[in-house]
Amino acid sequence: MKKILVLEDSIESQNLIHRALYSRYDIQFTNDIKSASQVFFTNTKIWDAIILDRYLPDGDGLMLCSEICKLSSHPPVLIITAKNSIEEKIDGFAAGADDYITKPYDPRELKARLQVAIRNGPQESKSQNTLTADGLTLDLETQSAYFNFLSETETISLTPIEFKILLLLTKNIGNAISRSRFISSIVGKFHYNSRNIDAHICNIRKKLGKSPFHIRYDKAKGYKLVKKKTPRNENLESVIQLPFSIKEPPKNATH
Amino acid sequence: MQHTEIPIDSDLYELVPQFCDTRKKELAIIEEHLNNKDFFKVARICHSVKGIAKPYGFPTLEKLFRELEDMANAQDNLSTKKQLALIRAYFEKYCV
Repeated sequence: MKKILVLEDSIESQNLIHRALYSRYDIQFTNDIKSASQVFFTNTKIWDAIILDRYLPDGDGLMLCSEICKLSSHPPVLIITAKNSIEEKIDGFAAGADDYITKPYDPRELKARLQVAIRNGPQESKSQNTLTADGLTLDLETQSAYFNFLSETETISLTPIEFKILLLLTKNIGNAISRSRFISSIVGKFHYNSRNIDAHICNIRKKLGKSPFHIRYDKAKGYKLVKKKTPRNENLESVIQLPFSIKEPPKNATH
Repeated sequence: MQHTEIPIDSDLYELVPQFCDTRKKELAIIEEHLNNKDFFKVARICHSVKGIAKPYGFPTLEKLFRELEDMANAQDNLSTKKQLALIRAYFEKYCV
């Protein structure tokens, strides 16, 4: 049976949840954030879903929601609460909740939403470890970069300093970064030769090759990462994979 | 058998007497909090009740406690006492 951890201080609410779910799930109830936190973090892997109330004796259940959702992999979190304003719902989703059910609710709805949440499986926290800008992704954990080209993923192999330079450019995409800012942000040395930045940029440009990005130089401001413009007269075959080839017209054809 | 305002799942009926008993005790607690002008504690109780009253078969009670919560949050002493009287009247009809 799937295991559900429920944080709910009202006995009557616990009874409603129990009645709705006991036939399909193994439910463990806790009454406050502190005990729920202890139970969950003792073994995070055993839980298939978490149900959290918000208005609790020792605080807002969203605090625990946020802590759970910081894990790189965590079970789905459902909020069940009488706090039903739009702002409160937005707060719930911003804290990482996978669903937000307002009281009073129909037990069939709780059952259905829980089923969907568990079916979707554990949630992987990608956003903390990757930075994506318009198709270019930098993985902060593996210090690698990749982009999509013609429905394939191309990996860019970068040295540690090249990765940091590309990261700074990507965070500020479209905006120029001066050499001195590169040096202070990445290298941190006052006496670092700024021409070394130029050399790194040159290498990164080559590696960005087929990607839709390139690094432009503005003499007054510095380097910036921009998206390439598509040339008007570019042969279609070079950018779009066609199921057939376009034959060139006969040399003596008139248009 | 304890009557409810609307029909509910048959397996919840056995919990309704306990629901009603708890609410009656809470009314006395709410009155005490109002006498002490502790509106926060009143609102806290109302917040819990409004979320469960309808599933237990008392949709009007949900509305009454929701209104009482708003009055307590506004720290309206006169309105809260009038609302409490309405809730008592409701209890006399349903939660005997």
